[in-house]
This record gives sequence, structure tokens and C-alpha cells, in this order.
Amino acid sequence: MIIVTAGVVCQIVQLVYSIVNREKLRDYTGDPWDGRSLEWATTSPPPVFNFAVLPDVHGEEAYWGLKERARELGQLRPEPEYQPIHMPRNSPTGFVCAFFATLIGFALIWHIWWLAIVGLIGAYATFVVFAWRDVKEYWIPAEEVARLDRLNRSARAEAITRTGMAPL
Amino acid sequence: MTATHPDDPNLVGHGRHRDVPGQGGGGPAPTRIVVGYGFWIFLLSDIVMFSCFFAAYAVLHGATAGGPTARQLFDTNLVALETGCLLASSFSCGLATLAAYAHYPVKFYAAMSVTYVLGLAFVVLEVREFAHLVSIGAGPQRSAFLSAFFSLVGCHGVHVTVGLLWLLTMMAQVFAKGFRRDIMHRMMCFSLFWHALDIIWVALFTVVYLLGVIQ
Amino acid sequence: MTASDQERFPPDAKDGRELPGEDIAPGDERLGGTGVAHGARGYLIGFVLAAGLTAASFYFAHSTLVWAPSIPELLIVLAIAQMGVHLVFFLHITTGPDNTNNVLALAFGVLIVFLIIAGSIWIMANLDAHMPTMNQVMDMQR
Repeated sequence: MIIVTAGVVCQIVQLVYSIVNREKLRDYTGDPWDGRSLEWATTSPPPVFNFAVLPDVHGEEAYWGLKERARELGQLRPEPEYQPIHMPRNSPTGFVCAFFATLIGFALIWHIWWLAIVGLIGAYATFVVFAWRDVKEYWIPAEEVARLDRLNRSARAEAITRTGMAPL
Repeated sequence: MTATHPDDPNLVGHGRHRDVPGQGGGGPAPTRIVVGYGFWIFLLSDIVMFSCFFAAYAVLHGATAGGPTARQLFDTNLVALETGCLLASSFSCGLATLAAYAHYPVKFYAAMSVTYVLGLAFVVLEVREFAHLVSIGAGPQRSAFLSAFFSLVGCHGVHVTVGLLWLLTMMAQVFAKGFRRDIMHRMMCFSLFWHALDIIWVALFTVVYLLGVIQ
Repeated sequence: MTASDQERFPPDAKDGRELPGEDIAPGDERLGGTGVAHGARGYLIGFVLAAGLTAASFYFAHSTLVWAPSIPELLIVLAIAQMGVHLVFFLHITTGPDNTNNVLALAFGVLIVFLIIAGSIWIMANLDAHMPTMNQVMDMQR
């Protein structure tokens, strides 16, 4: 009981401290805990394409090697050559199909046959509409990729000069 | 960047091993390889799901609860007819795939129609068998054996029915859009699906009907 | 074919014909020079073989030619042969070097299926053997 109370008090203290000092503690790089693996090399939240260029991986802890080198040199690696990125189009089909699937499941449990048929027709119609699309993908132009990546790089360049942490 | 040996495996995929297959050289595989392999893995997962139904049937095939047994219920002539329909539909699906790849629309529609008719015949025969069993009091609620039977064979039947819907959709798509590359990918996936259903049926009729009848 | 047909059904060198040294998608085969006729022959051979094996299955299920206790094993062997014919002739899952990924995926699937079916049967048979009879269960509840 006492231990649980102590735990709750610790939690409250953590919350208060974090909220009061939120400006000072805020992380702009996407790497708040000095990570070692590649997921810390991108922003948080990441851009829709995840990485601007395919990461060049050397050794087991890919990102750590990059950071060490950048800290030694005091600067990030040179800017990569940005290419346009091919992305699939967003679609609500999965969500809509799941909605009809829920209807089907509910109807089948309670033997509401007309609702089950409505759900099946709806799910199949959604699938066919999705299958009929002609444009499946779009290109993100290289300039847009560059713009988003440069935001990330500038945050990290600033961090490396400030604290020596979290470069790219 | 420090100098690295040209055969450094960490540099694989960056243009150094372009002509070695499976080494990542030259970028990702062509889309149809990726689509086909992905769908093949899905089919294998579907077969794993069927194996769960098979396992349930294998465990429960003797639990007839004093009710009708496999020997009393199954008609191997009907099953032989169903098997013939499905096997022939697999063959005509293969021909349809060839016609699609060679861009012969009339032959494609003809072969797909034959596949559809044979698949529909299979489903109709199976539905009639189920209706007959229910009418004589041997429905899925009668015993654990019959529950397992209806689940397993019914699951396969539902797969075939969905496949028939897919077939019609494929014909409609080729009619509306021609033999476009992405539609050919879907045709490849459909033919994989249809052949896999026949493979599952081979296991099904052997284990359920034939082994059931000779016990 | 008319001009509009050419647009709707564009000839595409990559569809169904593989470049040398490339991986094969499942369901593909190297069509070679003869194209459709050669492919159709493969399907026909597969169909005839599978039909023959199926007919054999149905025949031996009721036959007295074979020693009766061995019939289940015979049927299972025939079924495996049929599935093999389907895989090779209809799905073109061969042992060529470009097909390795597909074969490995299939082998893994077969392993999982075997574990599920054999494992279920073994475990349930074991439970069944250790379960007391209904009378004993009723006695325990008295």
C-alpha cells in the first residue's frame, strides 16, 4: 500500500515536472534518447516515405556509426542526392470493408440474414470499386522530399552543435 | 566514408552486384514477382487455416454421437462428379491464363466461362448435398463429426464461391480495361488461387470422403 | 486487331515471358519459343495425370484387388501424387534455381501444416487416453 502510494506520488511528480519544463525538454530531432538503430534517424512522426534516401547500412548498429562519425567531425554527412519517391495512393477501402465485415459478423451471430446479405454485397461492392481504380500511385517530387529532409537535417545539425547529440 | 572492399557485403544492393540474382543488386524485384510471391505466401497461410479445419476433422471424425456415420452418409459417385468438375475447371483456368498472357481475348473469355460453369456445377452439387444431409437430420448440429465435416467442406465451398465471384470480376475487368499489366497480375493471382483450391480439394475428398467410406 | 484493340490489349514483352537469369513468380513458366501451344501441352499432361490418379483413388477405395488394411495408405499416397502433379504442371513449382523462393515458402507451409495436423491428433489422442470414462467422472461427482 505504501509502495503503491509512493509510486503514484512519483508519477505525479514526473507529470508536474514534465509539464512545467516542457519548453526546455522538447525534442525537435526525433531522437530524444540517443538511439542506436535506424528508426531514430528519421523524424517523429516520420514523413510518409519514411526515409528520403535508402540508408547506407554498415555494421550492426547502423545509425550509431553515423552519429559517432558526425560527432567527431562536428557536422552531418553531406546532403544526399534526392530522387522522386513512388508512393501508393491512400484509400478508405480497408476501413469501409471492415465496417461491412462487422455488419456481416454481427448479422451472422444473431441470424439476421438480410443484414448479412447487405454486408456481403457492401463489402464486395467496395472491393470492386477499389479494383476498378486506374491510378494507384503518385510521385512525391524530389524537391518536396528535399524540403522535408532538410527540415530534419537542420534540426539535427542544430542539436549537434548545441549538445553533441542526435545528428544524422 | 571510409574506403571499403568492393565485395563488402554491407554494400550489397548499391549497384555492385547487379548480375547476381538474390543478392539485392539492381534494386527491388519486378512488380509481378513481388505480387506473385506475396499472393503465394497468402495462399500458404490459407492452407494453414485449412489444416486447422483438417485437424479438427481428424480428431472428431469418430465422434458420431450415435448419429449417422460417414459410411452411411457419403455418396462417392457424387464426389467423383464434383472432383471431375473442379479438376476440369483447373485445366480450363490454365488455358485461360495462357490466353491472357498471349492476349487472345475471345479464347480468354471462352476458357474463363468454361471455368465458371464447372466451378458453379461444383458449388451447386455441394449445396445440394448439404441440403440433403440437413433434411435427413444429419446437419452440423447432429454430432461433432458432422460439425467438423460441414465446417471443413463448407469452408472450401465458400472459398470456391468467392473464387467464382472473383472470376466474374476478372472477366469484367479484362472487358473494360483490356490486358493491362496490373490486370495480368491479378489474373496470375486468381489462377494461383484456383489451382490451390483444387489442391485442397484433393486432400479433402481423399481424407473426408474416401477414407470415411472405407472405414 | 483494330487500332483500339491494340490500345486495350497492349502487347507487353514482359508478361508471361521471363528474361534469362530472373526469378520466376509462382504460377509462371518459361514459355520458350513455342508459347501457347507448349504451355497448353503442359496443362493437358497435368490434367490427364491428375485425372488418372483421381480415378485410381476412387477405384481402389472400393476395390478388392489391394490388401484391405493398406488402402488408406494407398489413398494418401495417391493424394500426395495428385497434389504434386498439380503443383508441377498447373502451378509450375519446380526445383529450378529461379524458383527457390517459391519452393522454400511451400516447404515452410507444409511443415506448419504437418505440425498442426499431426500435433493435434497426437495431443488429442493422448488426452483421450488419459481421460477417465464417463462412469468414473460421475463417481467423482457423487
